[in-house]
Amino acid sequence: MKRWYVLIVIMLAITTLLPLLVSGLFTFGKEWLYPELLPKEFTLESWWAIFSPRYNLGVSVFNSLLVAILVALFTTGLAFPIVFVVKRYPISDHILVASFFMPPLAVTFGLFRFFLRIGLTGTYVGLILVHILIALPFSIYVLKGSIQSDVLTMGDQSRAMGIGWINRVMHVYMPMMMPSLMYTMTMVFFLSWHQYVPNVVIAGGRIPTITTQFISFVYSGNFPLAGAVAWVFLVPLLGVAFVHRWYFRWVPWLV
Amino acid sequence: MAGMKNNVLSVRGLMKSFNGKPVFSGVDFDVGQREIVAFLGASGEGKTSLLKVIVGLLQPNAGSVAVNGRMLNDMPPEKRPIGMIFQDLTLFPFLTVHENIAFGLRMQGVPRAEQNRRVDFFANTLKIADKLNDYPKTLSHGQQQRVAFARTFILNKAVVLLDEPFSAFDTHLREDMYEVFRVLCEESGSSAILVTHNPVEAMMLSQKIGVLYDSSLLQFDSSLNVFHRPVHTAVAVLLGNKNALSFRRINENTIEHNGKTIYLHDASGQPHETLQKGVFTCHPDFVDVLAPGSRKKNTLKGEIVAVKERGSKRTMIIAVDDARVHANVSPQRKLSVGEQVAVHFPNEHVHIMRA
Repeated sequence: MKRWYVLIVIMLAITTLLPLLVSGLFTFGKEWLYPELLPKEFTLESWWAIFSPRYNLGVSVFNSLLVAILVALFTTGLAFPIVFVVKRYPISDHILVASFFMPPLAVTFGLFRFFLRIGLTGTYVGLILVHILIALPFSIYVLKGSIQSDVLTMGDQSRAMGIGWINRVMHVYMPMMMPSLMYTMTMVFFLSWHQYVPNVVIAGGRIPTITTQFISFVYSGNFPLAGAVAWVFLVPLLGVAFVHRWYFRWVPWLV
Repeated sequence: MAGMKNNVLSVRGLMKSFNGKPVFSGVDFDVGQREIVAFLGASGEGKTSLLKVIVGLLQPNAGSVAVNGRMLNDMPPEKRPIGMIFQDLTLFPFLTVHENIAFGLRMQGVPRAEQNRRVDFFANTLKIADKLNDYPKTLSHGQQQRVAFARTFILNKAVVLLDEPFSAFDTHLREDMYEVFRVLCEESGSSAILVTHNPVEAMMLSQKIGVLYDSSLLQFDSSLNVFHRPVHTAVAVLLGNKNALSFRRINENTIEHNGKTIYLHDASGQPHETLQKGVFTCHPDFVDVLAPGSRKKNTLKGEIVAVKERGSKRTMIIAVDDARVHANVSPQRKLSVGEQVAVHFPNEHVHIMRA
């Protein structure tokens, strides 16, 4: 048993840390060409470059963060009431699963013409809307699993205590489901953070994001810069990990 | 209807069905001021559904629920003057004991000082004052139950419904909780309906008992009447009385069983005073086991087929014709399996009912 455990840990380390290490080497390497095992020279040039005004990475990161945070909040906020309806009037899980396996490309392209007509292409609203549409079925599916019968019974109990629906939502359902809402928001945040196709099609270059900048570096063969941007991708992960750790450690009823 | 003006809760013709299958129908009863009513019934007889219809969490298919004369059918649960304690307690895990108890008051906008005063009163009454800052998951089941009681009774609802509130307790703790429950009913002035499987609990706590069986309210009467004068074998069985022997009516106060005459004390006033055929019963506590030659009236011959020790008493199971008669006797009685005996049914405890 222990041997399997060690093997799994090693495999996970290889599949997650090795690619990170390689992209890290790219950021510090200069003239790293095949078949060299390591770069000929190590330098901080790419790091200085991506933070220089020339590439405006700060704007891309800001756009990606803004969109991902708003998408996480709005999508989870929309999914929250929907899951209660889905729970009371069950719909097949197959429909939900099928809807979040819809390729983002198909969703985005379908919306592109429509958004073009109503002037939403190249706007934050358009970009956020398309991200929400992609993430919503997924967040409903995740949240649905967290509404156990005890949440509904708590609702019934509070009704029998004279609590109206607004107070039930604010003071019973929200606190009860806060851990699940946190998880869902995190998932949706990363779903949005990593989107590329909608950012290209809907934002059309007018709203640079970290993914569009990353891909442009890759296509232009600028691997050290692409590697540095890939590492910037990790920053919100650390932030979210910190918030989760804080939340689940300091909320006394969960401990 | 005598005493009608004192009724707090009135239920008339209540019916509930799921997918066309009735859970209960034609349910009528009243609950008086400060009265405790118990509903007995086997699992699946609709006891919990009845409570949910009364509190408004389920809509009835027919019938009405009124509190203090005011019809509640179209009123949502949060507006009804009825509270409910669920079987699984449903304490809010994210609130401390103090916050749980004060929750309803806080939502009503009761001033903080008044909330604290009332929470302290209930916490002291229920002996949980030292737990006010704890979270529910750190409490024992008994303490959680006290919090659930306090949280509902603090709201001074006209009627409190309790769904099997004592089922998870061992015998020792249950007695304590009965006392807690009685005190709370007295202090709050609320009437209460509790559903239970336990006939002893129903007898100890309630003034009236209702028995749900086969989708209907078979009997709703004072606890003593339900115990001594069940209208149906199902009611008798639920109250721990399995004695049921067939009879045919001879005259007003006389019946016969397999040619043997059984005298009734006074059939008038019994629920089935005109019943011509059915079964008669006598609670095992009142059945006498006599020597086989006994010439007493109301005696049938039988043979002991089993003996069950119950600590403070011993239950004899006696084959009488095609029936089995249970008799609770003193553990000192020297009786054994295979012995021929005479089974005596004191006429004041003989009661006729539908089979």
